Amino acid sequence: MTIEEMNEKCMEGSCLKRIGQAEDIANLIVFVISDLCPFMTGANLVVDGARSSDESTSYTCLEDLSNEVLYEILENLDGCDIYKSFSNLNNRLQTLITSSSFLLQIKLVPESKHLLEDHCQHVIIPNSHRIRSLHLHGQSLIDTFFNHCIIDSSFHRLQSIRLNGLKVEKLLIILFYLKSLPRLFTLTIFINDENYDDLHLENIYPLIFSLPTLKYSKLSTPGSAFRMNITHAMNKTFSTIEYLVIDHYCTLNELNSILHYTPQLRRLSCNRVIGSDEKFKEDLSMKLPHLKCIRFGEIWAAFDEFEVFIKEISSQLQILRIHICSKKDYLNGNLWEQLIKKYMPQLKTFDFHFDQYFGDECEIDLSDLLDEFINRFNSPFWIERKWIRELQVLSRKIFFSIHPYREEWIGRHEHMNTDTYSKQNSMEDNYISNQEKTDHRIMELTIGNNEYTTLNRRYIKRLKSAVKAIQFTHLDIDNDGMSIKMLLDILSLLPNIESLKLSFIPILQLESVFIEDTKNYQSVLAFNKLTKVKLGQVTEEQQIQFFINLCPHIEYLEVECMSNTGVPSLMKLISMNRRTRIPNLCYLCFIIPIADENMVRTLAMTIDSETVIDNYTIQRSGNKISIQWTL
Amino acid sequence: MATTAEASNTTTGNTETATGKMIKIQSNDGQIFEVDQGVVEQSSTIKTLSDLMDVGDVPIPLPNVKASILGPIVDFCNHHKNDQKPEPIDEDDDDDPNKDIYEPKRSDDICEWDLNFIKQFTVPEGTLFDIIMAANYLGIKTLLAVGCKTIANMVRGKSSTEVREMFNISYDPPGEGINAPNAIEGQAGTVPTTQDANATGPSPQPDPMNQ
Repeated sequence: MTIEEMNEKCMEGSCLKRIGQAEDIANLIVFVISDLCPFMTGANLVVDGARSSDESTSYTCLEDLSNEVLYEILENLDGCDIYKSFSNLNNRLQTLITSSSFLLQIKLVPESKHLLEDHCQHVIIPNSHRIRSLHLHGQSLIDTFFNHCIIDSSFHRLQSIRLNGLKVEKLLIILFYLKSLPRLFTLTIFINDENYDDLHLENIYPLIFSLPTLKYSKLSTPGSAFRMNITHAMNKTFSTIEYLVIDHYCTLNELNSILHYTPQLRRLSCNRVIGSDEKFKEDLSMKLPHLKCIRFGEIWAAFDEFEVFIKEISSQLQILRIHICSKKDYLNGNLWEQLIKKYMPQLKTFDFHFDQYFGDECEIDLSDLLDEFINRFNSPFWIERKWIRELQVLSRKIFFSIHPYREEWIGRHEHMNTDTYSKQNSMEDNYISNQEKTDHRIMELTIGNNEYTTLNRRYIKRLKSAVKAIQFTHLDIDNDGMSIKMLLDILSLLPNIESLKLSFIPILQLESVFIEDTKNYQSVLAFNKLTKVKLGQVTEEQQIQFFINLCPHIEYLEVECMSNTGVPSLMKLISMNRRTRIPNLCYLCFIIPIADENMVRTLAMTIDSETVIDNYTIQRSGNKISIQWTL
Repeated sequence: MATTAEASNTTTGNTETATGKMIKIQSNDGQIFEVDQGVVEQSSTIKTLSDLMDVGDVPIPLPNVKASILGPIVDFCNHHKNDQKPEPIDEDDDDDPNKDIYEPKRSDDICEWDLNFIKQFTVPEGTLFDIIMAANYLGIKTLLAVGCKTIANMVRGKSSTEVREMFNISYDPPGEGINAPNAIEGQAGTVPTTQDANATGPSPQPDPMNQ
């Protein structure tokens, strides 16, 4: 800002429309100290060119906000920060922050360690009765904290505790004290102990389960497997826990023992289940009548043991998510079908994920493996439930998954119909029902972008053996290293692809000028059935033109633009092509950085000036603008 | 042709939309804004008033909001009217079993559009507080949250002296409030907050907790 601009800004609020000069102040001083003013000994005089009396300058300030709103602001701040920033300002604010009905959230991170003693003495201990949550991060911070402060029954409103990075011996002592808290609902613990052989989780779980009001518990520890024997909860008090997250290695036997303590359990998440030398002990005494959701992060236990285990606890199960690592005995669609039919009558969501890792050197013939994936899980049982199979082939890994059908391909919004014309609704419905009819044969191929994917010759070869075996209908490429040549190479192998999603526009190399003459291009152009195309990170019109030329059957086009500026000309380009190359296009979608009403208007004007499309509807939702029309 | 997307002044062409009627709202300085049902839904106050009055073409008066604030609010609501509604909190359908349901609020999750939106309102001009007060009055929870989080982010880590300066927070009169002799005793080691004996700031509001 220049001085001139600043002066102008200052004048805006002033009645006299000028800046104060030195003389304006000096003359007053001359008057005050002169003999003309002998009886004046002190006063606050305003010399501001009537600025402060101007009505437009009575600005709203923080203190004009109601207490309710001020609390809404304070809710976002840590208790120690609140004391630091708002202490001793004035009576109203002081009363506000010290009110016994205002509960504090305390989060201490290693950076706050040097202030820890201060925080404990001045904020935490004096306010122990109104602390709602206490989150401590870092081993030495936790040690120091508990040297200054003991959590006892004075913390009677404490609902949530998170301890990140502490040793087992410390935890045992802390848990003992937590018993006296009357309202502790959630407990999240991350153990960081170098001495992993000595982790006695068998001592920790009973203490957690003895906390009188706990609803949620998560116990995490990295490191290798360890033995844990929890004796069954005979004659022991049961836990009130409803959500349990077990974020460490355990065997099915150990899991079984833990679950004996938790008859109220509604959700279980178990991140690493390992196999064990011991056979799984069948035990029908366990009752979990409320358990509705289970997630297994990684499962290494044998399927027959898993089957026995899951049967016992699955009668009310509605959601099952399971991730299997290389255990092929889980890939039996018939067994799963029987298991679900017989033991999981309530199951609504089945999310099944299998991955197989193979090194670079071994040349596995994928067709065998793929045969196992694909030709199972395809009976009417799976189709009726709309549980869709998906395959991802990476350089050194294969993922196979079954998941509920996601509607993301249409890209329509649930509020879409509310703003649409009645004429258009019928078309919309047709679109959906067509989609549903084809559901059962959806097979999605994903080429991702991660440590397992390098786009080299071997990868393409592996991909080729996969695509020969399976009739893929969807292709999703989320890799910025893909060239147009490679894309055409892949597309030429996939004649059944209906929808294509590219998170990055493939690199258009110099030779791509002639790419339209290549054999692959010609065969893709002649045979492709692509009707839906989503293009990410588009920067040039040329990129869109390439796909318009390549996909003559396109009905749905979604374009994510990197900037707003090119959007009208893209619209122009597309509507011109609509007449000639892509007559079936009826749903166009732009995802742009700033989608506002101006852009909607600009697009409407562009469409009107082209006169190719009429009877259209424009809809904006977030940063997405969609345009539909009848053919 | 017709565009149904936007509110206020883009009602050209066919207005027979599926959402039906537009509603007029009027700021305290007389400006009238036309909003659709998607905007009305976001403001519990406008919704209640429009249900109550069944206004027809008469604008709903909003005596606590001026046009310079109401205009941006209408923009905000137009931008957010098609946001995905937060999933109904049905514990059994919740996708993420790792979620700690008592997790404290986060204030670093303001989306980019909202960050840009709130930048046009400032503390020195008081407009940031105007927008917060208006959001509170109109019952627009999302906007209120954005405003409150913005203030919280400005305050975080600052000392009370800095906060006083930033927001021009008033002092208690000498000998009153936290400067009262008994209050000073209660806060050993703290300094009275009156700048000097002659400073006479506005008196603090009556004690809210004892009302």
